[in-house]
Amino acid sequence: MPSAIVRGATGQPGPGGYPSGITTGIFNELNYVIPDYIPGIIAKYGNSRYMLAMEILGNTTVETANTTTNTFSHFEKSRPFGSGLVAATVASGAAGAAVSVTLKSPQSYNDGATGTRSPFLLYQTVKVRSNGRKYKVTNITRTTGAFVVELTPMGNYTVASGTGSSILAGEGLETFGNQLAGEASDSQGTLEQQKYRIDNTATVAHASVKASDLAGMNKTQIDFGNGNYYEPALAIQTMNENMLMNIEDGFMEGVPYSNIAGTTGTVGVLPDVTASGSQIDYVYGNFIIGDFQNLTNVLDANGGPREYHFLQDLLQRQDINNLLFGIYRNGAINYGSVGMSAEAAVSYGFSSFSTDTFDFHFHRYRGFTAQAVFGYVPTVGDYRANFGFAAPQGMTQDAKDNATRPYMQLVYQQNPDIVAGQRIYSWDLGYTKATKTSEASNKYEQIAYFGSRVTAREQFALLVGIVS
Amino acid sequence: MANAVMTAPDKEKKVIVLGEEVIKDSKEFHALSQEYDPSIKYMFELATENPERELPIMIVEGQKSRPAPHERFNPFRNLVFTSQIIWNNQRRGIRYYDGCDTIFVDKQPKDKDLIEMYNRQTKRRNFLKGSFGCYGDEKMLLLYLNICSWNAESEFRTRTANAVFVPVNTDKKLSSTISKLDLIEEAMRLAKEATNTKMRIHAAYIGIPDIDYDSGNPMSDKEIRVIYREWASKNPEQFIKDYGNKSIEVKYYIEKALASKTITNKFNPNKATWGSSNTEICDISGLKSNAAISERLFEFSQSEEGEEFLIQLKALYN
Repeated sequence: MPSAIVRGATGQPGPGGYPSGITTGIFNELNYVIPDYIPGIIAKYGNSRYMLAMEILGNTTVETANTTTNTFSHFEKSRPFGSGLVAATVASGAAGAAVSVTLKSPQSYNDGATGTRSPFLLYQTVKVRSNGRKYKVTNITRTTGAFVVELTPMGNYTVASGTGSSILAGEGLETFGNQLAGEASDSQGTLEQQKYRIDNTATVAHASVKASDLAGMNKTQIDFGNGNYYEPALAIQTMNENMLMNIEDGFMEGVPYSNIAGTTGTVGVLPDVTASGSQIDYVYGNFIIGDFQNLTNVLDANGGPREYHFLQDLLQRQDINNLLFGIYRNGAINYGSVGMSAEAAVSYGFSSFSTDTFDFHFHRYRGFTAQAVFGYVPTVGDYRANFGFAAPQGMTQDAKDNATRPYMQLVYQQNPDIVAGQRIYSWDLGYTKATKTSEASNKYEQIAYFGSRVTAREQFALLVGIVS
Repeated sequence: MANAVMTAPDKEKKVIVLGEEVIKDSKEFHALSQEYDPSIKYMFELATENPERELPIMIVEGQKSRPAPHERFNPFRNLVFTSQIIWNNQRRGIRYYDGCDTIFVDKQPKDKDLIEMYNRQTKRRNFLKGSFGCYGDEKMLLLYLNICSWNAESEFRTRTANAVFVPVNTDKKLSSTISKLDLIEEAMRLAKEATNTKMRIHAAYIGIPDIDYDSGNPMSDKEIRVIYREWASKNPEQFIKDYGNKSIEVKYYIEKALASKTITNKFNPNKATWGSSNTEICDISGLKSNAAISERLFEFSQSEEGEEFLIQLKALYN
């Protein structure tokens, strides 16, 4: 008899008896019912793709540009009209008598504290700011950092500040050129605006996702989007969203790099504006019209255009809405119909406000608010709370090539091997991909090379609510 | 016995200063009693400086360009004239307007329109390039500036307040500068007077090479001395700190001994021994790199059992 593995009979006791019939209790025993579900996955905290500055401000304020070099530049020119300050008080002479004053360093010089260049030239007409009187420059001694300018009154008055008997330290001297050249005058000296070159660099943002074979093979119940039920799809979506935010944050806040060897970052819009723009402080929760006037004074002094766009955190939006609602009650309320019926809809808030020849447009910018982006409430400090950033709308003219460009640019460095215009370059490789790897996993990569460019930073302003 | 009125000594004597009742010699008392010299301009500067731009702004002149000087502060920031402070251990509002005779809000006129008018009439004050000053005859303004919460050095500032500005204390600034200069002088003196041996040991520690990399020649004492003194002038604090550190010498001798095989582990990989006599110094089991062995030997030299070793080591190189 051949050997065989003998098995006993199996499958006993057969079917189960349900004296009361089949009820829902059977599901607890067997546990095979999948509850009805919505296959799509829902974002708990809403669409994390908060509005980007470029989408908010539009391409008359921010545009995308390309660079073929890691360092990119632009040129700017300073004011065309010259001024200086008096270094030390000098007693006036008699009416009509010339007086020599020393120009204060560094304010009166184009090249720093040990200045060798100043707007003042022989024969120029110089106006004293405190009383408007005009004087002719009849001599200049160009001592480094201490030019001595001889001022001769053009009328029967003394060289003095206000109605005093001396020209005071700190007095403003202003000039446009020679207004009293006389007959058969010869050539005058040359004035040229100070030129600046502003450089910046592109940084590199890189993100990756790696999924093992098994992680990518198990189909789930969840539709992560576009009918993709596999886990890596969610990780790739996360990578996409983080990459967008990475670029946005790097563009706005900058990427410092002086302490990390072998890397290059980018300056960022806000660091540039913080260093060279003006800042208006107001008391948080108590924004008043005077604060708007402080702001317009400064924008006017720096040659700002008519229209400005504010990117603000929610607290500042509310502050301004509360102020303007207090003044313009009807203007804050919008009534309209909702849907099919004639119910009134009420909205509270101002999207624009004009004052002192400036138009301000307000936009809420989620990127300033930790609660909205990261989901926690800062308790130690929050550098962007009650914060607003005023960006001028329009175009500035490049000093070098006269091309016009918006005030802000998101500059992408182009890789010649990558399709032109592709800002975020993505590729994948792995055991199921065209580019094979020996490890049984798939990798998804994204990379972007970007930097910021801000022109005429002096025309920007920060509006900050301070808390005491 | 005549009746006598017994009174407890008055420990906290209250006085009136500028219309305010304060405890004598308290910080509130000193703040209100402060006198200012009308001929002096008291200066304040912004508390936060601009970080240096990694790529400086270049000034272009003809074919040349040079970096523009770094601006420490932004060009304009206004001064806010209202604040809350902690006064007599509780919150109190203060507000400055031109012509006020008190800065305490609860003592100022209550009429809203009147206050708005005063506020509108008040001259705007601003930090220009980070700096603001006012003369001593503006007593109320100076009082406000010194006690408001925006002053990072105010004794009355609230815990949550933004720090906007600080008083410019010329003495403090000068003292800081003077002490830096003193350090430089001290470091230069030590660098000049160090013996050649001490100099070479210290120079090796701070990373000054003893070989000229271009020619491959060893550097002379004179050559090292020049670089050594330059390093001292640029890093005086670090220089002085390391100069006095005796352990640097010991580590130097140990490394030199290991390099020249005066100390070796060739006879027994687990023991450090004197090369010439195979006399054991200490156990170095499990250590392979020279750096690890050097560190172990240094630790041994600092212990009681290592005293003899230390004496022998110093005798070799001193």
